[in-house]
This record gives sequence, C-alpha cells and structure tokens, in this order.
Amino acid sequence: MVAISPDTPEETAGMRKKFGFGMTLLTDPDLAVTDLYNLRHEKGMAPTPSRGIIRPLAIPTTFLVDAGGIVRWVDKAEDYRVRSEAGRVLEAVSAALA
Amino acid sequence: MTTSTGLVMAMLGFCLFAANWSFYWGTIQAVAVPLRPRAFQLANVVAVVLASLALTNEPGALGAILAAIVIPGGAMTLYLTMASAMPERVAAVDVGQRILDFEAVDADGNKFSSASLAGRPYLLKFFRGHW
Repeated sequence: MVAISPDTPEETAGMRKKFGFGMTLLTDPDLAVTDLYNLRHEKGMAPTPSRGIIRPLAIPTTFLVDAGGIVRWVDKAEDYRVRSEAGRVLEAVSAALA
Repeated sequence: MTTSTGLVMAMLGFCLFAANWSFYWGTIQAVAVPLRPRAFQLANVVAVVLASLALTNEPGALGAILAAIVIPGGAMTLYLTMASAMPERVAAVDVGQRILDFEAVDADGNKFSSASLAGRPYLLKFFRGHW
C-alpha cells in the first residue's frame, strides 16, 4: 500500500511515528501528483499552525491497481467526513483480485 | 442564591452540546460518521437556541460563559457538518485504465517512482495528511 498526502516529508515522518504506519508514505506538498490525478480539493480544511486552517488537499481516493498496472477499483469520497472504511476496501481487494 | 431561568437554559444547552459532541466523536473514532447527521444537527440547533435564550434571561456569569461556548461552537459545528461536499471532479483514471506514472518524495526525503511498483498489485491512496 502506498499513501500520498500534501504534507511535507517532516510532517509525514512525524505522523508515521505517531501512528506507527508501516506502509509507504509519500509527500505531495505542491500537489503535483494530486493534480496529475485531478483530485485537488482547493479549499480543504486542515488546521495546521504554519499554514492556517483552509488549504488545498487531495480528495480522499483509493485506487486498487493490479500487477499489470491496470486500475481494478476506485473509491473516491463525495463527502469529506466519509473515508475508505477498512472492511469495504478489503472486500473490494478480495473481489477484484480473486 | 437562586438559580435563574437563564442559567438553567445555558446549562441545558451546554449539556446537550457536550453530549452531542461526545456521541459524534465516538462515530468519528469508529469510522462510522453518518452521511446525513440530521439528528446531530438538530440537537445542535436546539443547544444554540437554548444558549441564545439564556442570554436574555439573566444567566449570570456562569450562564453567560456557557452560552458563549455553545453559540459559536454550535454554529461552527453546523457549518462543518453541512459544508462537507467534495468538489465534483472526475479522477484522471478510472477502472480498466492504466495507472498514471508519477514521482514523489517519501517521508524520509528519498525520491520515489511509481515504476518501482510494477509487477505487483497495490493500493494507491490519496489522503488528507496529518491533523
């Protein structure tokens, strides 16, 4: 699993330590990858002391990619309060890769 | 000392506001936030109305402080739960299409290329980052 956010490497490293994430964590502070995938949320809310409350974020989205590099499933949030719930993701992974 | 109507209303409003948030926080922790939290929003409106009415009924210092917490807090809560829609964007890739190659920097400051993922299935997740 690869996760990417608009945070800086320093912020991402701090979050990895705080939550003990084992996945690959990537950073996209200028939202170049986010824009490549057309997932920019211009007025996202993320209270950050150094950058204020409102700043651009990525629309929470999960792509399941097979070994051939083809997208097999996409989960894109339409409401920022609803995330990719673990059970739903695992179900999709099992169905797509069965 | 007598308890004024305003103080009682302010305390009721504050208790409702606090209990409401306690419940909502539980749904956040359980990743079970309701898509349309109408009951939560209605309870917030009632709390704000109670706190507002309290201010016109001699709430005293304590009542005024409680109302001063509930009114902006409740209004902000309503805003946050109503302005939750995402921009309508179509992702650049969809099911059946090839994932787009990209390069980024990882948490340790090292360069990362999506080409390194070739030949194995994986999940690529865009997320909001830290709080």
